[in-house]
Amino acid sequence: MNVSENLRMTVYSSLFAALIAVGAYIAIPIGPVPIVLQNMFVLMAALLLGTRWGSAALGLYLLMGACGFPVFAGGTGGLGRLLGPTGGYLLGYIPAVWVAGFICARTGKKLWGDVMAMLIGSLIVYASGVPWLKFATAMPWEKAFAVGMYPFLVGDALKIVAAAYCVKLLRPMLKNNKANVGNG
Amino acid sequence: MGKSTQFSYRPGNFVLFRLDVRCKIICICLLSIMMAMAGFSHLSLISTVLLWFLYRSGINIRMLIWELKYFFVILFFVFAVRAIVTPGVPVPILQILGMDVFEIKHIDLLNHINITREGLVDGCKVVWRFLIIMIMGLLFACSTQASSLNVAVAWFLKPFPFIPEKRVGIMVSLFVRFLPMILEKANEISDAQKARCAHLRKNPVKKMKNITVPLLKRVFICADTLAIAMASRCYNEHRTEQDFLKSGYEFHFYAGTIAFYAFILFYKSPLSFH
Repeated sequence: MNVSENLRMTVYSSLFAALIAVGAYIAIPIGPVPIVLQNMFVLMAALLLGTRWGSAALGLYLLMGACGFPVFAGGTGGLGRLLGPTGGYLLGYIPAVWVAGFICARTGKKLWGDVMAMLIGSLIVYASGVPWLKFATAMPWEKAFAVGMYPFLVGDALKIVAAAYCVKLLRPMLKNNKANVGNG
Repeated sequence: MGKSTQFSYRPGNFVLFRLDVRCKIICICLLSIMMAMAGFSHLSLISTVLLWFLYRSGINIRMLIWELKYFFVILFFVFAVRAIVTPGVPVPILQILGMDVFEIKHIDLLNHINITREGLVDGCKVVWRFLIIMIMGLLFACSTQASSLNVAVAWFLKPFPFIPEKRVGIMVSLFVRFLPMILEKANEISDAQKARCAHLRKNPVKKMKNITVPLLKRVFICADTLAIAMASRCYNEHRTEQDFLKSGYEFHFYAGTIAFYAFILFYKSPLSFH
């Protein structure tokens, strides 16, 4: 069956948008604070789908959340959440995915390029989320960093390592699927 | 999400369930914007209307509060920060709560906390606004079918030249289709890992890898099967469009929204410091 590239990527983008939504619910207990897989799927969308389709997946996820579907962390949704104190992190996902996808494509999808892309992507999320949190709650900068960034850095480092490993495993699989689907 | 929650769509006969989806989206967007200007009187009015809608939509308020528990934690945090950092007339809240001056002097942290009257009022107002926007989102989600939303999304995106509105519409319905499937697969994998004692592993990266890799492999296989099924049914973006169902009450909702806007503009709420 000849499946067009557009249709395949449309399905993959929707799948990643759903994975990002579900990622907020899949918690891995590693200590007192469990790790949720949401940002890991965001970064993987950038690396596996590229700039265009990765951004489309994030756009769809935010659109569904804005429409009121319970896809944001904690089973919430709606414009209130998107424009609320943690809205900066959510809106920061789109530029983060675009930049991470761009870096990944430029570095030839090598392991060090993937890690660098995810590091810069994570920084963009914080660069958007922390100032938003600061202005929405009117808290000082030090407090905004203390509650909105520092506690998550270790978890983010672990997610980047796990995501780099998963992307390395999944890339050939997607390539094969593409070939099989195209030639079948 | 895979299970039925207070946020899931449920069939109903109340006017919200029969209303044109475009009307619902427009009213929610306008009301969300208006919330930024709303004072206590305006918030009381709209809260009363929304509570009536919740009751008529058959939503279990107790279950709803339970499902929103994490959201309430965020709201409390926002309230506390607003109460502390907003400048104004200090409120001796600890004395009111029954802690005497001696006790307070011996708790260093409490000496630095300066709760103000303006902060308390502002915190209440901000938290109330967020809560109202959240309830509007909930009412929309529980009264709107995914297929209607798909068509409405395509209709709204039509005027934008660089956005393929029908593709976005189909992505919306695929998204809704994938959510329960991913949760089901994640639960299956989690149970399989537990059966192999994988939850006793100490390495967090391995824990993540053990769940993520099989999950992604399985869902990508499902996505490929779906893409083939769509292609075999000659899927294309030039399909017959679904009609919008109208209840006949759309005008009332638009008029109500505009009337509420006029109420916000021309009636200044008491207890406003701005």
